Amino acid sequence: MKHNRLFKVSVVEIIIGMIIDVLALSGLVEDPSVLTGIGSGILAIGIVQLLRVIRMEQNPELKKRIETASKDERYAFISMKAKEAAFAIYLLITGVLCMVWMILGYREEGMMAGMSICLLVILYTVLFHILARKY
Amino acid sequence: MKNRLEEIRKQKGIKQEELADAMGVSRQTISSLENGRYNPSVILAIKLARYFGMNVEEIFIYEEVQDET
Repeated sequence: MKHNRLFKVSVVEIIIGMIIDVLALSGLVEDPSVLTGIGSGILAIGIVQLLRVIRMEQNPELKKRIETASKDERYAFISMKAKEAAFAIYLLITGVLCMVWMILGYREEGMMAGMSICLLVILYTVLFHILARKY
Repeated sequence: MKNRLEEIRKQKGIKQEELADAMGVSRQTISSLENGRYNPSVILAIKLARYFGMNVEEIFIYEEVQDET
């Protein structure tokens, strides 16, 4: 059922990607490079997903392994830990970059880095309160 | 948290793969549980206990001073 849905999503992605690419190549847009990039990206994701679904349907062992991995609580725990670490490292690196850019006079870049940190902290705070109500 | 999972599994003559299949988890999860590297959720602990026909406390031994998972 889940794979059937993934198959449909992949086909839709491929169609959307192709439509965007055709639009970009048709000359209707002045600068088609961005549109081509987006279209090709969506097309590539769709093709990779579709190939994955086909491989899973042809190989029951692989299908079972992927299904188990998607439900495995240890994988979910590892994924959560990895996200937590990535979040902390991103904040640290961006914080250092923000200060270095500000000191070196790259105010615009420094501001962008600072705003990125603010956005993450705000998102974290909002999500924390939403999840605290849920659990 | 310590556990007797490996000992009990071997006593019953069950392979890690078979236990993993029965629990709906990966073989690596069973291996990590046995090595004490990963502590199971309450649901998995109860499922394991039911599978072996035992109480959770007979498989998992909680110690007051311990590291978080």
